[in-house]
Amino acid sequence: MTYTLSEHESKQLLAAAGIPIPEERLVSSSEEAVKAAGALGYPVVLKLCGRGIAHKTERDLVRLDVSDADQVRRDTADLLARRLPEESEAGVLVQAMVSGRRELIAGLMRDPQFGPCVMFGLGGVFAEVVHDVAFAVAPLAPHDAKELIQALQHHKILGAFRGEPEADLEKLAHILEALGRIGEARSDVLSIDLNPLILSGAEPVIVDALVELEGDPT
Amino acid sequence: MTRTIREQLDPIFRPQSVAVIGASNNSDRWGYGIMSSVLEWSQFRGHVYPIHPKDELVFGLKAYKSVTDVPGPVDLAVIVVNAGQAVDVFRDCVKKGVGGAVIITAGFAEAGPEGAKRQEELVRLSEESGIRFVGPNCNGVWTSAVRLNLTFWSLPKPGPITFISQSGTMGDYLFEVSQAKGYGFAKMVSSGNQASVDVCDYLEYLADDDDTKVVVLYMEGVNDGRRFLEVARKVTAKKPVLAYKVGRTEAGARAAATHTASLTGSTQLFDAACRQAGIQICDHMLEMFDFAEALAHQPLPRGNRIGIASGGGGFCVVSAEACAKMGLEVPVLKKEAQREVLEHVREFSPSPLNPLDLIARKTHIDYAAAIEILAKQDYIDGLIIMPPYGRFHRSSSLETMKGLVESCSMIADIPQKYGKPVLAFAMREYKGTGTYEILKRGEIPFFEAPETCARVMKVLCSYGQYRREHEERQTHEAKR
Repeated sequence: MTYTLSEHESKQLLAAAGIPIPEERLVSSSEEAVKAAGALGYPVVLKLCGRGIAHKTERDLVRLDVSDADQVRRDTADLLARRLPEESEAGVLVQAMVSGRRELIAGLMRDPQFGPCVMFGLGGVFAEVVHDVAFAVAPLAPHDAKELIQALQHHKILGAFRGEPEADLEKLAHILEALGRIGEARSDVLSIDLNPLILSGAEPVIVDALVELEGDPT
Repeated sequence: MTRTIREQLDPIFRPQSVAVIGASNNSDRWGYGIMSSVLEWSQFRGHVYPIHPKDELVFGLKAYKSVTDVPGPVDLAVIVVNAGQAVDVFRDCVKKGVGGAVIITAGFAEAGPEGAKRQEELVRLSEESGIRFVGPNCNGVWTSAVRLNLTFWSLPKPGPITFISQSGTMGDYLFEVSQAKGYGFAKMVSSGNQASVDVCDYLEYLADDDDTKVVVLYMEGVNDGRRFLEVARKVTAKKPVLAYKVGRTEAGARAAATHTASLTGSTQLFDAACRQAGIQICDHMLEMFDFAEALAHQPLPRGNRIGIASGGGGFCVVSAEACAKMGLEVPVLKKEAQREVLEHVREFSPSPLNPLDLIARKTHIDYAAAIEILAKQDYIDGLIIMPPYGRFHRSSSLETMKGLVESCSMIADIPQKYGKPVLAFAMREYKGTGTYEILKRGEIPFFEAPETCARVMKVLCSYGQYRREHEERQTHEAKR
């Protein structure tokens, strides 16, 4: 059987593989959320976080750009109230709000013929129309990761334009290589989805992550 | 001890004796076609043993009732009996201890569960005995090593290209077309269902096959993607691999599934593996052989900066545009080089920027001299040219004729002298001329469209880049 780790657990798995993850706090009450937000700095993002919770946007489980303690308190209470009966363990994830005009996606998948493969592509609102994704078979040597980035049809989006700096390609490549390493080292990891991977200036920041595992969740 | 891939496949590609099981005197039978391929469309000098249950003679040769009756050793067994008998016949081959087999017969995994069961039995016998086989459901093999041809139609021209095709008819047809263009082949394999030997095995074998300078693949599917990536890397480190892969469309994938029982898999992942392995993907079957011809005979460019020269402006325009569209650069000649070129053209000549429009060259030799100026620039990596005039005319002076010969000879020497590829554009009729023969001393490939020249050059550049980067990484790793 397969199951999906919570966003927080997913990121911990990624962090253990050497992928940089921005600081975040998992809380279970409004007061804890306020404390966490104060420590991370406003504005923050609040998300309901638990195993099996995918499609957070569709279920309206994300609060962006929350800018003061009162709002944090209200939103946290609201999110907790939206838990389904089987999600009683779910908490609220507090993160610093990351903004950037360029959204990317990256991930890991398993193919019956090629085994673990790393995916990289454009994300955000135009992703469905442009549909610009590329793959590489794991493991990825540094040059494989760089070529994977260049394999995007619109890789120029990663260059400097309209006041945006050139993306830190070394860091991006490092993330892609690490995804490949996870695929090679852990056969129980069926898929990883980093969506979105936001370019905050030059810096690629993993804003959301989901890891699907093979096995028994207990 | 397990035998190396070379020991396993050499009996198929370098046999000294061939048994044709299912050989026939009846021209309606496939076994008749195979016999005529072996005897009439080959230059095979080894032993040929027809196997036939009743006939004493097939094609005038003494026939044997079973392969086990053949007095001497049998390196290669070619099986053309019907599917119902194929397994028994292969069992006889195992008993005889043949070196390898080509199973032409159809009616296996591509034809439903009963066929799949027969195929499994063949594979089991093969694995047990270590006897590998091509096919089943295939159209045979050509190998220049012993000039043996099991495919139909014609005697192939030996040469540097090896073509592995999962389709037999595709193989025949393209073979034929490439013959028409004069391209030579080291090997051609119609690999069929690939039950025993698959594309990965062929690649592994070809990596060390000295006859093969370029590998061309027509693929409908790949079973073990990771092994494919691994062996392909071994080959591309030494020689280029080109691939046409079906399954890019739903219709194509469906056709492949019923054709050779292949799962086409994800195109995007296949493309990714090819990029990582340095395989050049082609989306035009016939052009793939043009790429192969150039890769086999021309040095690899060190960059993507192209010099273009012609005796007329239109070719310059179309070629320059085609190069630019392919992402190749056409750098402007530096002033000093321009001045050099000007010495070889008349005063009313167009400016020699690159492309060079040499319509106003002083003599034939000046034409070649101007092209050589392009070739020697360190910021030019490859040349696309229109060759000098093709025909001699009796009204020309002997001096002019000698100049034409000299001019062609100068151009023929460029690839070797400067280590840069030269591709030529000419209409088909040019191939009948004497000057064409002189240019062919430099193995210069000819194409009928400037766009083809540009696409071929692009493939040379992209494989050249792969090899450079690959070698840099090797030396880098060796230093560490």
